[in-house]
Amino acid sequence: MPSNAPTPPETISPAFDTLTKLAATFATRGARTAVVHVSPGGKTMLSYGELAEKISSTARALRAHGIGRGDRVALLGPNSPQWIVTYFAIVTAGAAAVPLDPQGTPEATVDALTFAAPKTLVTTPALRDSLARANLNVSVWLLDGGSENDIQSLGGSSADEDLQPIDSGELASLLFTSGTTGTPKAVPLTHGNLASNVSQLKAAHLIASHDRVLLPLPLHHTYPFTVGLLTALATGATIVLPAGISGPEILEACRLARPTALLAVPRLCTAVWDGVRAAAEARGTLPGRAFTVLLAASIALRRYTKLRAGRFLFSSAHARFGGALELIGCGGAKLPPDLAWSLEGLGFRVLTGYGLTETSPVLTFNSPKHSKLGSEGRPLPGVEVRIATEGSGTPGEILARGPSVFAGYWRNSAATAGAFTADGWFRTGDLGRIDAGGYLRVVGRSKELIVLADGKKFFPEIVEKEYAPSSLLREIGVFERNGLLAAVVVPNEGEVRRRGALREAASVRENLEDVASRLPPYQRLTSYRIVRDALPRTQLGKLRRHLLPALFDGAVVARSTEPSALGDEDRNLLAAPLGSEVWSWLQQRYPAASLTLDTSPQLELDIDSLGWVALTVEIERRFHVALRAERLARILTLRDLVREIEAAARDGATPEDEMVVPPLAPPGPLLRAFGTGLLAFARLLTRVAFQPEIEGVDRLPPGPALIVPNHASYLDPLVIAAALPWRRLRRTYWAGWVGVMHTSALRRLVSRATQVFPVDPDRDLDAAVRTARELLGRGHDVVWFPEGRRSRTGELQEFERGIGVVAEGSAAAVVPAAIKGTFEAWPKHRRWPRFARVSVAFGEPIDVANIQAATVPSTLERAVSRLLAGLCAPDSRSGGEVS
Amino acid sequence: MTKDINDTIDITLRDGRRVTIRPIGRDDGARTAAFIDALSTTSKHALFLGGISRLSDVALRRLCDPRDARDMAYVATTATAGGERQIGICRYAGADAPEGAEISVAVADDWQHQGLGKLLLRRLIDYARTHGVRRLYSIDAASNQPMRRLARDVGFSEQPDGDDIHQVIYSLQP
Repeated sequence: MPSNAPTPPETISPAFDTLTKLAATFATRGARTAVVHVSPGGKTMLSYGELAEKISSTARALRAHGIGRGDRVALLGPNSPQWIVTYFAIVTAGAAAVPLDPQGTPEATVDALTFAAPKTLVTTPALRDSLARANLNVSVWLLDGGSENDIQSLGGSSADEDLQPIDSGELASLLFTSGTTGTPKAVPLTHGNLASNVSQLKAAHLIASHDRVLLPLPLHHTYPFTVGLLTALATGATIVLPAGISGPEILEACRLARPTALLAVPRLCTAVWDGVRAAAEARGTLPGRAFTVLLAASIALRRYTKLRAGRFLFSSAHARFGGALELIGCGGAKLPPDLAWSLEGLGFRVLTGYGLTETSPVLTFNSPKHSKLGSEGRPLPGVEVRIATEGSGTPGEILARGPSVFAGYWRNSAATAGAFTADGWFRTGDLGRIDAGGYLRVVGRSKELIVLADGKKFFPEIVEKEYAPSSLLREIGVFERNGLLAAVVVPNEGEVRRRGALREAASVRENLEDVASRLPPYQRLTSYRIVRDALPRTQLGKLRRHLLPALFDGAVVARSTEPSALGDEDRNLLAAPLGSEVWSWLQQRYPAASLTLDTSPQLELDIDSLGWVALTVEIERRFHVALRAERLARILTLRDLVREIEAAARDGATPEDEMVVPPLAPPGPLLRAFGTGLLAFARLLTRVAFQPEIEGVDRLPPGPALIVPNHASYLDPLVIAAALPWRRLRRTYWAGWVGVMHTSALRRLVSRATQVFPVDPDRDLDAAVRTARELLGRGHDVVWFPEGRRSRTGELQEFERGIGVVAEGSAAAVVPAAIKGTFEAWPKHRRWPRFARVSVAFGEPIDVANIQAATVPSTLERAVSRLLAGLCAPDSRSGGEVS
Repeated sequence: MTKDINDTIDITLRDGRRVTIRPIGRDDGARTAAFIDALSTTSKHALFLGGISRLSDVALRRLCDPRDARDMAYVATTATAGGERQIGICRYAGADAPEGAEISVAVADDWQHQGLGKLLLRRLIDYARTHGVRRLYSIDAASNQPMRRLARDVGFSEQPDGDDIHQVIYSLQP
């Protein structure tokens, strides 16, 4: 075994450093119930005193039969009081227990037994029979065997002196983990490993001695063993063992024993949640809706005030679980945050943690005092956790060190060598991040990353699989260049057209950025190129990745086809009078690019949604043809453009015919009253909830203003509405993104009432631009968020060019506005808002008449940025409020 | 007595489910497309390498349409209420090339780990042998352990892919 002994704990001194010393405390607890076992017949109880006595007599019997130090005893059976007694008896006798999976296949069990070579196997009659075919050279004793070979009726107890004290460095358990190939991996955990883990869990006061802990998970796994069994016994609490892990069995145990805590895995939490929700919905649609509403309210209350209203709101659900269940501990795999919040909303306290068999198992956990949902918590005291950087382990890998980390695999030096870094840290094989507060987040598994002979550490496949499942991307091929990841992407043309071809490049970019935000930094693409043709493949369709770099490089250069290479159809297209006129105009317009019919305006000519507005205006003027939104959305290549122009000319679509009428008709009196009410309410609520500090209202011009704020949260429009004087607010119109404000009849109604007009940047930005200018011309204020989307990070994003076109030629003054605090209150990635200090400032109006249209967005961006900075600086007026 | 290996065979898998293995037919195009569509991301990636959500029509046609003596494929199907559903395919193509024919195998996710991949491969290898194919090779991700085990079990030898360090080539002389 490598010489990488765990660092001795410096600040903690556990109450017991071996499991035998833990067992010695049982006798002192006398008649208090240790274990409640629910079986089909009813329930049986075992007190601490009885437990202590049985452990002692069984241990002595084992000693008398020659089992002691250096021996191993396999333990194969379902959860039961006898299992617990036997385990402690084995370690008290000085031997090591080898807990095996009672649900494992006979082959797997035999393999494990062969590898571990125990002196004895203690199991149930049924399991012994299932192993009968294997010729095991091991003596067998039985749990629940009646008198025949039953371990508890073993005769011959040796004298007290034979039970010698155990050292903390001695082996207590030998556990099997699932290995992939080859030799099974057996994890040896010493008394010290387990005892240090349990001591810290006990010291965290997760449970108290009056608690009853329901333990449906099998005890041969270290998670329910340490976190459930050992912690409960160390605290003097009661353990409740249900008859099985099925729903009805768990509910029966809840009914009979009324547990206060449940140790679960995410699968079980899902089942609990589904059961409660199904019961609520089964009562009818109205009760079902009421349930959803109440739950949302309960969750919100929990988030703001930390109060748990769920116990009162959902008392019938709680009654199903015995009425006393308060704490749910969840481990083994990641618990989805949504599920955790739903359970909290129901009134349970949910605590999670992270660890492996090799670490006894808890490495980090969320305790009542220090808990962050979505994270795996902070390290257990005495355990060190850090993230590997280049050079030691895979970058991003979680490393651990401490008294509860094992020292190496049993009789498998190859596996052990690979499991530790050179300086003795255990490699968990998981990837993660530790945030500023010290909370660990597990991001993924690193087991698929193999270090190759030439030192290359990542596999493009892992990245490709993350990016692949998307309706927008048909194919993606990732390759490495100078240590960075690059990709060639083939978008799904049908989907691009559906979303609006105008923004193809942006749609693809957003999709890739979205995926990237979920991956660790070294798995993110640093650059990509879009191509139209399918990626090069073998005859059976396998990607030829080594051809990707050339494809990538070639994707920038516009392919030039000789005129003679044109197909018949294309030639006819360009030969027609309108077609040839359009083509020669295009060539004049874009002299630098070598155009072909396949050239993509979006990708190769860099025409974005605003560019289309300008281009269509030109096309209208030159060719007297109006290209409306539906036509534009279909254009992916210049061929498409020529075709659409021809088709539009044939259909006789002229500019005068297709003037889009913006929804400017003033709403009827009823709708207006509704809108007034909504706005007044929203204003009041925002002012009361966030008490925003408002500055610069006096700078608003008397005439119409185009108000241009930064955008980080759904709260932004509400805050502006709260800041504007009431009379102005009633005259204000708002640019609302269709994807948010116009997706349902209710939302459209609200939008009409509150004077929100639709902006559809992917399909028809032109209409929104005209609408805004019309409104300004009529003397209304218009609020337009130039970033387009809410900022993901709170930082100011680049202002889109639409704002320049809106402002251009308008007599209205442009007023920059800065909003601070809404990102903290309700950022893009949060489901519910919370309180934060909010402030709004209006800047000096900017006269854009003398500024070049193209530079308007950046000018405004700078103005808003300066305003924001001013809000963030310490302000003596507000008593030194700092961001 | 030599087996007539163009026969359709019916077998029962370890878990009791029944499967038919037969040569691919002209009308299997839609079935094959549906089979590929239903594969999980991981299985799709193992089969095609590179991230892919949908195979282009051209590639699909090539895959489904064996050209005369140079290509061959066996499919595994199961009877469902809606008709015959394809749950596995093993194909080789380009047997006339000097380096031999490229071979690949894929099994639907819920039918894996039942030995079906091995069955399909063995049948196709037998066919290749009796039709004079000198060499069969498959290009796979080096990280694909299940494929490595399958290849080894059936008798393929492994070499690193000279073009791409993340891939290996399994080859066999049938």
